[in-house]
Amino acid sequence: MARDPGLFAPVSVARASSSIADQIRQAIVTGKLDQGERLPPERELAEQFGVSRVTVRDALRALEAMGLIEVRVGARGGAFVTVPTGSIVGQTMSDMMMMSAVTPEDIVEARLVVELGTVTLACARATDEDLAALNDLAERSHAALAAKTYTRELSWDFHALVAKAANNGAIEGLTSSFRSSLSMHPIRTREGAKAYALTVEEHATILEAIVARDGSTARREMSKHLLRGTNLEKRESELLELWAAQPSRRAK
Amino acid sequence: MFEPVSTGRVSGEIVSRIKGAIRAGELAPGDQLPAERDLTKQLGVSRVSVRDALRMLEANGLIEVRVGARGGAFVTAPAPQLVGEGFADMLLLADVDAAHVTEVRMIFELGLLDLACMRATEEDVAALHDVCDRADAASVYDPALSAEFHAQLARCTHNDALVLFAEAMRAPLASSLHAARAADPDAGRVGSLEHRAIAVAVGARDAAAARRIMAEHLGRTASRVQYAS
Repeated sequence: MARDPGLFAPVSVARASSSIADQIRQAIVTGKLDQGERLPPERELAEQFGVSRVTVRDALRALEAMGLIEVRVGARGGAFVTVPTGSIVGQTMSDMMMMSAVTPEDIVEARLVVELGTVTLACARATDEDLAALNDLAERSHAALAAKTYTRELSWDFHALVAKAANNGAIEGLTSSFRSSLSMHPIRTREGAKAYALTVEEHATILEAIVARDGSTARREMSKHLLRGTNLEKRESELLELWAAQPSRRAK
Repeated sequence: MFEPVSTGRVSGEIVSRIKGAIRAGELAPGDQLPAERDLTKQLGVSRVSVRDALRMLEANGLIEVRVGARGGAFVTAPAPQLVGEGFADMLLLADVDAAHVTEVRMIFELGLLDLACMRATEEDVAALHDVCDRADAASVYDPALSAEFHAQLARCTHNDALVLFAEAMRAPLASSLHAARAADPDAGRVGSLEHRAIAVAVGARDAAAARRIMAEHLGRTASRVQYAS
């Protein structure tokens, strides 16, 4: 089992494991290994790669951390190929943002850039199903507000459903990655208890505009929503005027 | 037989402890983690668990393992490229088509461009032209310079979140560019001319012109990857 690798071992072990992880990653992204497929057992991989089991194990941990494999235990267990989820990518993004000390104001601005485009697409493409899901969330949000059980998660769900209504897998994936990293939490916290009530109200107004397929209203309401409490209205006014003047600017 | 279960959980716990220490500012980039042996003792876990945790932190870009006399595990900030690789893998494996990636690019880069026109300094504009100069001097089209141009454009916004995001988007965008180039090998040359025109427009603070050229620039990519609308 896990013998002490000794003084010199970590050098080559670390390198060999990343080369193994990379080979397996390549096999996955090029489709040589399919989703749901089980990797050969550690013992066999160790033989194939000509390395120790410890090294294979290191590589598997790295792939697991990247969301490319999932390790299941039990009789039918093993390492299975999976699709990385937005939340795994988002975690790394979140770590990156945290350690680079990006300001909340910069995050709001980045969200303006992405979400105003997203909501425009949602107005153009939302299906009946998308609208039903948004309506359902609106009801649940109101109920949660009344019961004082509203959480940030519900607010994120709204933005995730708007992204889904854009019917573009890339936007949906990216938005789910923002979930924790582009959090408005630091700004909303300054606002105190009334913040959630305002959030729910603004979400309802945005939804109305999506239902009416009114892109310019949806954009205006979304920007108001994102800018609330930020003291950025002035800084962004020039940008927003420019965007308002170009209603058909965004990709359809 | 039973070992992977508990080590999986224990190593996950170690990962979140170390992340917690980073979040709380107890560990900052450049700091060295205690040696494996010491971590084992401090946390009261097996060496295998510590090792698993370190590999996971390394894969997440939160530590860098250096070897040699002054070696060890050092805290680092995850590189935007790492996020980009994650995005790229996710989009590729989820079968997101290239046209949709281009659409995201439209939204992102056109929005960014408006900010760039408002905020670019003289130095920023000079840096844009410098990338164009290097592309002109190169005998063959270099996609890396194209990526650099777009990254420099993001820096013109003076928004750190957008800069990081643009860096992270590089890998997934590269895959859509690759698909485009396969369809039209001459695209790179035309693209370089457009980069120059965008640099001129940003220098003149002409957001409308910059946007028009960029839309065309990205639109060609979109049409080449059979953009269905």
